[in-house]
Amino acid sequence: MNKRLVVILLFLICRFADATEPDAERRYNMHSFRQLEAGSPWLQSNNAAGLLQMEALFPSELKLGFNLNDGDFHSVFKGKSDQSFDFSSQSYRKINKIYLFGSFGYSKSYERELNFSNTNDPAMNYPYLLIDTIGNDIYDREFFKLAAIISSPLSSRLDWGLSFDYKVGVASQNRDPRPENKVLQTSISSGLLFKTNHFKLGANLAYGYYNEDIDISVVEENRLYAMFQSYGLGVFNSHVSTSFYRLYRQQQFGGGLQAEYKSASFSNLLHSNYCYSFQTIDDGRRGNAATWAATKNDSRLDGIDWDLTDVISIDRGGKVHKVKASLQIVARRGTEFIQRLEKVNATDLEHWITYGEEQKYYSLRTNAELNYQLMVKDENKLMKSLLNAGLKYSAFAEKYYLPDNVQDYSNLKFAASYLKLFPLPAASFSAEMKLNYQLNLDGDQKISDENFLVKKIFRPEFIYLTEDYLSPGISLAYQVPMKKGFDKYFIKADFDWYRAESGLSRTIFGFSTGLIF
Amino acid sequence: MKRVLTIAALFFLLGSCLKEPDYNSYKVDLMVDFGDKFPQEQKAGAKVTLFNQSKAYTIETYTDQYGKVQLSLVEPGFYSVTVSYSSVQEGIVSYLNGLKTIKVYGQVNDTIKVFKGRLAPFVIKEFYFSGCSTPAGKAYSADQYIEIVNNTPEIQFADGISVLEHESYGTGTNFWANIKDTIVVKMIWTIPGNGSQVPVLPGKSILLARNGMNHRDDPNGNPLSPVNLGSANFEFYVLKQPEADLDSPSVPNLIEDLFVFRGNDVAFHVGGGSAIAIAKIPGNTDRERKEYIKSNMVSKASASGSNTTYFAKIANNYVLDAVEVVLDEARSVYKRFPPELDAGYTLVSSGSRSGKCVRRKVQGVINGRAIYQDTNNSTEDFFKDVDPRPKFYE
Repeated sequence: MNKRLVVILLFLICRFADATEPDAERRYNMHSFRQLEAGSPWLQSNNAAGLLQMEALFPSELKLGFNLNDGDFHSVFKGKSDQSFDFSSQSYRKINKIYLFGSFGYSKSYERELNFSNTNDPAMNYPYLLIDTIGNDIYDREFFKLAAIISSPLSSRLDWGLSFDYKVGVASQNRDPRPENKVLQTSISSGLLFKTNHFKLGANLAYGYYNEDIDISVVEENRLYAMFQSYGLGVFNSHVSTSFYRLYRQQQFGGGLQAEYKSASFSNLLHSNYCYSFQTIDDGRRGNAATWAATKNDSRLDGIDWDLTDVISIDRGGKVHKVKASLQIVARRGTEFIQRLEKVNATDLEHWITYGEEQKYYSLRTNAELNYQLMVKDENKLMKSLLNAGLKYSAFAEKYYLPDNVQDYSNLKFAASYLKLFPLPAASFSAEMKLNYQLNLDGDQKISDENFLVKKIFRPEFIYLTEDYLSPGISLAYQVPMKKGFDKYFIKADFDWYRAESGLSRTIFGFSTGLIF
Repeated sequence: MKRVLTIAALFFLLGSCLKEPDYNSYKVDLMVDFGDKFPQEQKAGAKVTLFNQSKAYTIETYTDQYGKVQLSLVEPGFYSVTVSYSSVQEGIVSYLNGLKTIKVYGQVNDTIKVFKGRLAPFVIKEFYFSGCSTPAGKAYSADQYIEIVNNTPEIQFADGISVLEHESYGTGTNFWANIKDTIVVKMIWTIPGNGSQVPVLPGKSILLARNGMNHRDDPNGNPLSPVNLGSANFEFYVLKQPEADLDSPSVPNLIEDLFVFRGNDVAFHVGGGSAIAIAKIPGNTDRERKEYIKSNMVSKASASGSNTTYFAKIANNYVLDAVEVVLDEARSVYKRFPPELDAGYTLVSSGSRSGKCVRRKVQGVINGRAIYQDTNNSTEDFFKDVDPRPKFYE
C-alpha cells in the first residue's frame, strides 16, 4: 500500500481530532461505543441525519487488535485459519450543533489453507466465482478503511446528514496460480430528518461502488493451471493458462425511509432500506490468453436488498428495554453472456461479439429476526450491563436453470449474551457470556451433474450451511483510568468456540488493547 | 401518517421482488444425411455429439432408425455437432463422419452430411507444437515435431510422403472454402527417397523434427524441453546464407518443396493454429512433384491489395491423413479441412509453452502392434494435452 496514502490518512485523522471540542467530563469507558450501538437505533437506520438522534456520548478510541480464527468448521470458500492484526481509531464529536463521526482502520491478515477461492470476498461475488483447485494457499491481505458521518440541523424541524465509507486494499496469494486482487469499495449516503413533537420522519439516498480487479499469474516456468469460472451450483467453465484477468464491478443505488413515534419514555422507530445493485463480471482474455485488449463479458448479477425493521424502546432512565423485529429479503438474478471471438472490421482484430444474454441463476434469502435487549445504566448514564436474546429465522433458496439445479435450506438461530461491568477500586472489569445455537430446519440439494466442483465445493458447502452447531463464548475486559491525556486504557480478550454436529469445530480468539478518551 | 407508512411499506415490498429468470431453451432436430445408397436399416446408432463452445460441455445422443436425433431443452449458444459412425461389412471396418457448427437461438432443424473416411497406410501419430520455456523464462519451440506411424500390418515406404501445413491459422473463415476437393497449403516438406528407401515396419513410426537433437542436453537446446529428438528420422532444415537454422549432422533433412513465408526455420504455431496433413503428391521424382506443386499455385491478395501471395492447392485424393489443430474451442468454427479429411478438430488447451501435445489414440494391440484409431475425426481420434512421447509404442 502506498505509504503516502497512509501518511495523508493519518494526517486527516489528526486534523479531524484537533477540530473537535474536547469532552470535559471524560466519562467514557471501554464499552461506550457498544452502548451507542445498542442504545441509538437511529445509528442503524442508514440515515446520516439520524446521527443527531444518538445518545449524547462522544467517545474516541485508539485500538490495536489481534484476531485468530482457526478450525475445520468453516465455509469451503474460506481458509482453515485467519490471523489478523488491526489498528483502528474512531471518534464521535460535537462541534456547536454539528455532530461528527470518523473512523480509520488498517488491517493486515493472513488466511491460511485456503483451497477454492481466488476472490477476496466470495460472499460478495457468489455465484460468479473464480476458483483454482490448488489448495493450501495463503491469502495475504492489507486493507485500509475510512468512514465519516456529518449531521447538522438545517432548521428547528429539519436535520441533514451525509455519510461516506471507503475501503481499499490488496489481497494476494503466495502460491501458483497467484491472484492479486485490488479491491475498492465505497459508498456515500445523504439523508434528511423532519421532526415534530412526537414524530420524526426521515429519508435517505445512497450510492455504492465496488471494484475488484484480479490479476492471476504463474511464476513457475512451464506450468499451467486450470482456472474455473463458476456460474453457480456446479455449472462452470474452465481455462488452462498461465494467467487470467477478471474484473468485478458493482454499482448500488438505494434509499431508506424512517418514521419514529416518541412519547415520554416510549419510542417506536420503523425503518426500511431498499437497494438495487448490479454487478458485471468481465474477463480479459482472447481465447486462453489473458489480455485486456479483448474483454469477454462473462456474466451480470442483479440484486435487490430490502429490509424492514421496527425497534420499540422503553427508556426508564436506569433501564432501557428494547425489542427489535426485522425482516430482510435479498434476491439475486444472474445473467450469462453468449459471446464468440470474431474478427471485426477491416483491422482483423478479434473481439468478443455478443449473441445473447441468458438469465440462468436466481437466489432468494429471507431473514426474520426478533430480538430483546435490556441495558442497565449507572448513575453517570454509562452502561453497566447488557442483556441480549434473539431468535433468527433464515431461509435461502437458489436455482440454476438448464441444467436445473436447486438448493434450499432454512435455519433457526438462537443467540444470547450477557455483559456486566464490575467496578474495582481503581479500575473496572467486565465479563460477557455468549451463547449461539443454530438448528437446521430443512435442506435440499438437487444437482444433476456430479462433477469435480460439485464434489469439492457444492456438496461440502451445503453440509456446512445446514449443520447444527453450538457456540459458547466469553469476553473479558479490564480498564484503568489514566492521569494525563487520555481517559482510560483497556485490554480485552474474546474467545468463541463453535462445535458442529459433525464434530468439526472452530475457535475464534481476539485480543485488543487501546485508549478511550 | 399511517397511510404514508402503509404506502411506503407496500412500495418497498413490491420493489423488493426481483423477477425470476426468464430463460430460453430450444428444440434441436438434426437429420444425418448418410447418402442415397446407405441402407435404411443401418441408420440407427450413429453417435451425435453437441459440444457447447462457451461452457465446454457435451450432449451425446444416437440417431434413431431414420437417422434423426431430437433434443429438447437445449440452451442457447454455439454448438459443434459431430457425427461419428462405424460399421463392419464383410470384416472391413468403415467410418462415417460429419461436422457442423450450429447456432441455437430458436428451434433448429438441420441436416448433417457424413463422409466416408479412408483408411490410410500412414497416419499422424503425434504432433507436438506448443513448445516450452527455458530456465530464463524465454519461449522455446525448436523441439517441435511430427510423428507418422505405419498403421498397417505390412511394411510401408515413407519416402515421397509430404508434410503440409494449411495456409490459415484458423482465426477466420476459410478463404479457400470455394475451391472444392482441395486443401490450400503454405508449406510442403517431403521425405527424400525413390519410394523404396525409407521402409517403416508395421506399427512403427518416423519422427520429423524441427531440429533433430537431444534438446535437453544439447548446448543449443533447453534443459526444460520435454523431448530428446536425437533419434529423429528427418528434420526440417532451412538452407540459407548465412546459415540460421541448426543442421544436425546425424539427422537427414526433409526436402523443401514449398515454404511460402520462408523464415530462418520451420515453426508451427505454438498456440495450435497449424492444421497439418500428410500427402503423397503425384510425381515419381522430386522434380515431377515440384512441377505438380508449381502447376497448382493459387493466389491471394493482401487486405490492402498491394501484394499477392501464392500458395499450393493439393487435391484431397492425395491426402493420406489430416489433423485440424485449432487455437481454442472458440475458433473451431473456422474449420479448414473438409469432413472427408478430418471431420473434427483437436487442440492443446494448455496453450503455448505448455510442453503438451496431441496424440492419436490406440484402438487395440494385435500381435504386439498398436492399431491407431483412424475414424477421420480428430476430435474422437486424438488425446489432447498429453506429454510428448516420441517413438513410444504401446
